[in-house]
Amino acid sequence: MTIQEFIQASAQQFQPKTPQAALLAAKEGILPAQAYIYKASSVKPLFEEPFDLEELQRILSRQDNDLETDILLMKVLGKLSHHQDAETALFAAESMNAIESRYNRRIEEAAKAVEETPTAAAHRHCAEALYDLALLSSQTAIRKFYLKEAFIMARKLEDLKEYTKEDGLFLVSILNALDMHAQSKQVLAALKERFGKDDSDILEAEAAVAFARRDFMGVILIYLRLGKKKKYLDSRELAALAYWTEQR
Amino acid sequence: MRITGRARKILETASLSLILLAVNSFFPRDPGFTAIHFLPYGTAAVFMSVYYGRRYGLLSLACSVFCLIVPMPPILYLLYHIQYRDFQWKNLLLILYAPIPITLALMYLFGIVRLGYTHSIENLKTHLKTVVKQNHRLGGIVDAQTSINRELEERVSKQQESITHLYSQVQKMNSLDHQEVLRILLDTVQTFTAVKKASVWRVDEETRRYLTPERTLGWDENQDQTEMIPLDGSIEGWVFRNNSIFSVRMLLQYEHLTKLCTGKNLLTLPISVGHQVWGVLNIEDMPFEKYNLYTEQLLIIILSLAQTSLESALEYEYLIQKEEMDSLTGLPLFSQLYRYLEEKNRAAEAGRGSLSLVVLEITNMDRIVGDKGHPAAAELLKAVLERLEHLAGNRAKGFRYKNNNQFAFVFTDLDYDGLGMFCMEALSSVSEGGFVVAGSPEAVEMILGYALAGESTEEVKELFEEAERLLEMQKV
Repeated sequence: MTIQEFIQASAQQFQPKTPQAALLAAKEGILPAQAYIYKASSVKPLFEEPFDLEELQRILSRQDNDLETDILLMKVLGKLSHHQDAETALFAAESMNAIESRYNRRIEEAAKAVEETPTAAAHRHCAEALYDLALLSSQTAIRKFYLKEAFIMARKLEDLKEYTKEDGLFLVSILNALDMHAQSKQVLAALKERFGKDDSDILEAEAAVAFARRDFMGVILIYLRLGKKKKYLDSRELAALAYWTEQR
Repeated sequence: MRITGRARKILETASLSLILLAVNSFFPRDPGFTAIHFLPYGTAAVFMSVYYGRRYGLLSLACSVFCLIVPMPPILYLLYHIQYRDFQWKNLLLILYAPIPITLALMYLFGIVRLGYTHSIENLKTHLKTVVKQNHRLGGIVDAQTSINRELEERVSKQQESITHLYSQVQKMNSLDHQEVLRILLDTVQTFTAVKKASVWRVDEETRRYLTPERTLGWDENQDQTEMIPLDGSIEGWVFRNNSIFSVRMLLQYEHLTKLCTGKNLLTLPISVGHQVWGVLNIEDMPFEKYNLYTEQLLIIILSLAQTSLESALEYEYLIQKEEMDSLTGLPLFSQLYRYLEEKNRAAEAGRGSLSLVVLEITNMDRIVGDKGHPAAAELLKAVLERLEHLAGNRAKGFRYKNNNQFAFVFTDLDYDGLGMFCMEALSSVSEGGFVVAGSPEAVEMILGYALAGESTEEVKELFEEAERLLEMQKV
């Protein structure tokens, strides 16, 4: 089918709104495969003005969006809330509220689970829920509040025997977000004692903390240590290692 | 117990022959149905040959013949007391001549036909199985593709750093207001590199020895927005003077840069306009994972794309400034005053200094023009201006005002008391006289009005209204 034939035929056919719909239609034989190819390769980034309100609504209606999507949605909705059209601004405000409510409900359920069965998994889940809501909030005061709550919840994990390296690194990321780099360093020192001082994940986290504290020599030294385990590093880590240790 | 497969077929074949034997037993004078040429037994054998294959046809025939020879005579004896020697053996032998050969021939032919159909069906079955398997596999692939499609669709729609977004940002930068260009530039830098704090610095035009922040991003309210950093003693200055990019990794190689660094420079890049460095972009805080070569390259690209728009905006502003100068006094015209006040009012609202306006009017200008002509009046105006500029020092910027006998001074570092003092000194100095016009001394009568932003005024328009109201009050 040529492009012209496809365009002419599409005038009489069902117009799918999304690539998924086009794929299903092609599967059932309602539309030609070209309809799916066209739709799939025409996806537009959400964060592009003018914002596609229909696409926003479609994504907002999904209950299972990941955090990254929700953060992007909040950014877009934040911009739309200042729109000159009152209806659009209201829609944006209500949608932001709906997203936040979803996360708040998650936190309530997680907190209840911690009360009922205070296992490591329950604590972890609650801390993550609080951290996610902190990342979602654009207002500094609200963000700090939720980060502190997340820290308190994640801290309790340290006393449990199911405490893992990932729990420790999560605690470090909360402290970094709170700009409490000295405390991050302490947690990392404890992690190194418990899980090994040459663990590449811990070393990378240490480099991030040194960077935040403007200890650039410290960053280089850490990467030099990481360089000794080059064969265990992935492409992203190797690129960072090359960037920090090669001569400019 | 379930009988399947071959055993069932054998049993069915044998059963058919036994059934025929049972029926034949009702015809004691015609064993083998020889009167109708062995037809029932022949038909059964041919039927079995078509239904189950030639082997079963042969089995059926064999069973039938066996039944006729072995169990038939005793059955006839039991039922009809027909003696063995009275059994119709001769008639039975007749079936050997034609019925059995014909039956065998038909069995063979129909068997072949059956075999053909069987093969055909087997081939179709095999083909169907293959197609079903393929279909099942394709179904799995389609499901996988559907998941991949959703994932890729999400990746594209979640993308913030798309080239189309960069293009629309560059289009937005086509503004003739350089502040707007810088605002969009910093916004673009934030979107593409996730920086948390950044600033654009420009050389202070008055001193030419310091850099001042032209535009900032992510600075706290407490941060000093009037900060000036030395051109000679800072990383920003080094980048400006050398037209070179600074990256914090360089501190470990170049000791002289370590002395200049204050911890506020992660990446600093020169902003060029034309072939000259106009300012610098300083990245003060960014996520650790974003500090990499790709980010450096992105920043270079963004600055390069912004260059044209910035150049156009600055050129336009320069032209406007040039056109809006009073040829007589060299002072900028009233339109310039309005723009200048708007800019300084924004800065004052952001806590960067104060803003005050003084409007001065020479009330006897008309009389002087009438008596001594325009050139003399213009000379007098210039002399008054010179004296007042000397009084104000370098703290004020002068402008023409609405009427020919009016001009204005704008101060950005006086409070209410300081402003009052200047006004009194100005009136006192002018009233002392000493102005000579066309060779003769001339007295100047001057009134003034003033306003301070933030005291009773918020908008620039209100500043004008306040100053003019005081001026009008003195005319009454």
